Amino acid sequence: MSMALLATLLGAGCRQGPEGSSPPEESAPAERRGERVDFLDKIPIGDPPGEKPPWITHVTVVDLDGDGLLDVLATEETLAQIRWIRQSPMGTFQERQVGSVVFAPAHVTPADADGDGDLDLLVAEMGRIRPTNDKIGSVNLFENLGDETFQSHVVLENVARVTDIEPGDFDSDGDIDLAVGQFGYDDGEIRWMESVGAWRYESHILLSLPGTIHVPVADMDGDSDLDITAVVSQTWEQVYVFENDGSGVFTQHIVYGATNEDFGSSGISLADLDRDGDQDVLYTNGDAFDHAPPLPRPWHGVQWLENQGGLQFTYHRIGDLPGAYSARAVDADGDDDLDVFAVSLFADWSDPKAQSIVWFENDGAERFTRRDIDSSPSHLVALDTGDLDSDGRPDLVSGGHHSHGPFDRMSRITWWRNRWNEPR
Amino acid sequence: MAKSLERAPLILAGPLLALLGCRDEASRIPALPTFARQNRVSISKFVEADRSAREEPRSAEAIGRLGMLYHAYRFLDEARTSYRIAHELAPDDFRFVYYAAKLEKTAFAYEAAEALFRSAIAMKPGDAELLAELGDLYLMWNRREDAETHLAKARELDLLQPVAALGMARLRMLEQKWDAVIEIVTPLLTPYPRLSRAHQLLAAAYGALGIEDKRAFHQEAGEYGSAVDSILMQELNEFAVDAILDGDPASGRDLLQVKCARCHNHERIYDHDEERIWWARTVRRMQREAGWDWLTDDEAASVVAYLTERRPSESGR
Repeated sequence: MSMALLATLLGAGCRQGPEGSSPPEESAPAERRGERVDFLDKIPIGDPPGEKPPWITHVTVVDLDGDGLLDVLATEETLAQIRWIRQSPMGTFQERQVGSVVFAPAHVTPADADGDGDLDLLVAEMGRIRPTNDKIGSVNLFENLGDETFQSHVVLENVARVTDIEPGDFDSDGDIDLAVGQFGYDDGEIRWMESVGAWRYESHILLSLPGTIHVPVADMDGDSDLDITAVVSQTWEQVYVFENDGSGVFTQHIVYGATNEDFGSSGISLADLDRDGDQDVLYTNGDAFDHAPPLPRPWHGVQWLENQGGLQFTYHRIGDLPGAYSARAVDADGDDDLDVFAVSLFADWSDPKAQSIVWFENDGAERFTRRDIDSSPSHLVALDTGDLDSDGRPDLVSGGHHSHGPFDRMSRITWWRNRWNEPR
Repeated sequence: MAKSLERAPLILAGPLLALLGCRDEASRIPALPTFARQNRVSISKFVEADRSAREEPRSAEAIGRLGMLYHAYRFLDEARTSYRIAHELAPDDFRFVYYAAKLEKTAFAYEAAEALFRSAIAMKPGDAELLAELGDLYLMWNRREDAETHLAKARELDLLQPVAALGMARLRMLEQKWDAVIEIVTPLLTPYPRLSRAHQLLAAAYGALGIEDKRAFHQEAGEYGSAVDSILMQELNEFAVDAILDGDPASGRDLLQVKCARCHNHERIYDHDEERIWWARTVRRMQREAGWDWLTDDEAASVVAYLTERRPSESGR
């Protein structure tokens, strides 16, 4: 025993932990790594970084003004604003504030909340990014007045910090209700807010745990009503589906839970990754906000939960990515399968090669090969996709969040223009 | 006479060889590192522990304690080397293997930590804490079956071993077996009434069962409770505590905002009215997680001084 032990003591520290830490019972094949393929042009859009380092928290690509050109919406903590980076004419972007001041906006979702045919904005207001139990969160709805101005309706306030608002008619009465995620700190919640007309809502609490980041809405069980999926971090590290019976009565299911309390769940999005007609869950774990210093963990990365029907989900590791955030599924290379892109907020930025954005290329059978894209700009927290230049190829848009150093590769909004198969 | 002279080299050779042997063993002890972020009190601890170890290079206790000091201050390579030498000198003493395992767990070197925990368990098979720590490692590693096995063994030895009980409760929570969570965790509150994680798990369980009054009670109780720290790890922490008992409070408030409030909410910092030694232990525990690059000795001492000396009404807002 002693010789073996001495060997361990001697060798300890030379070996690293299990890269990706794919659990044996949820085992994935060894991560595939491929060569970098240069097919994305990196173009800053909107205003450049100002005096304070930018703290973008979310970006979404949308044609807000209905002119046929995609714009970008961003939530900016340092400015306490929602920013509209409007494309008009094609290829020209101009940035401006929309709506009123919002303290620590975490997420903005375009939706026709009042049914008048234009896009309103559902703004999740944390109140403060840093940890607090103070009841400073708000559900802030920006009504689109049709003349490129927006009127604020605060329909819920003085609650635990709000991180996501998503629309859906949960009680099948024809109007738009809201799914609301509240990270809080010790005392977060998930609720749905039933529309009772004229920007008024009644709350129904679904969960009283802290740590909710995202609450995307889709029919997860194939019964034609809208369910709510949620990722709950803050040591819980679980993915929930709240199953709707079609009338707004929900049943809670934990569909995935990491045994590691420090898993670092950092977000989910929904996509039919295996093209079998149902919605799967794309899931990143890369949070290090609660670590000092904020460094990545060896288990950080990207995974998907395959929807098997009947609210049964199977875990698959896609690949490692230190500090992973904001995975999005899109067919970037035109081969009719969905690839996955993700960004990194908490890589080890002292390493100039640490990647801030990567591509997990799908071979058509959901076997993914990780390919580096870029190490600059650093500290990317948000990613969305859309064909900004209307060339038939989906582009990417990222947002930079520089709440910690180093500050030598800063960005606000970056358009990653896709020129796959385009001659240079 | 001639015979004596003939024997002289042999007589001299014994102590000489012993001295050379000691020098050889002493040379294996890691050299003192550069102390850029430690204060005078801390550095004097290292100088003293290093001197003791070199004077007694065959003393597992002296070299093990040097390892613990390095570990307490997060000099991981020096701690590893010291623990290795201590284990060579006292191969039946499980402590240095256990500390080495804890160190590797902290460094996410899971395979090394696993081997060391298993060795420590072989040396002390009836120790619930060792089994629980290995089970907890498997939880971090997402190896559910191994976690279940070792946590269960720990609980057979000590039903109230806190790491084992909390780990087992987490596994039951993931299976949504809320009654089991309550059954496992509730008895823990007798010996550990302020254990945050226990209250949080109970809040989740009662919430899932729709028992609102108990959910609300445990949620509130979980907000400002305490964490689990074993006696052995407390002992390790004590090595570093007294060096930050005498600081300048002037910069403490700003440091709290910049360093501590990143991870902790306002109330968690300010709603405690505790003795200086309590704050020093708490700050040191945080520092062992974050490292001295994040918070130096002088900064830690300032934080401790500010938190101890602030007026009761001073909330830092």
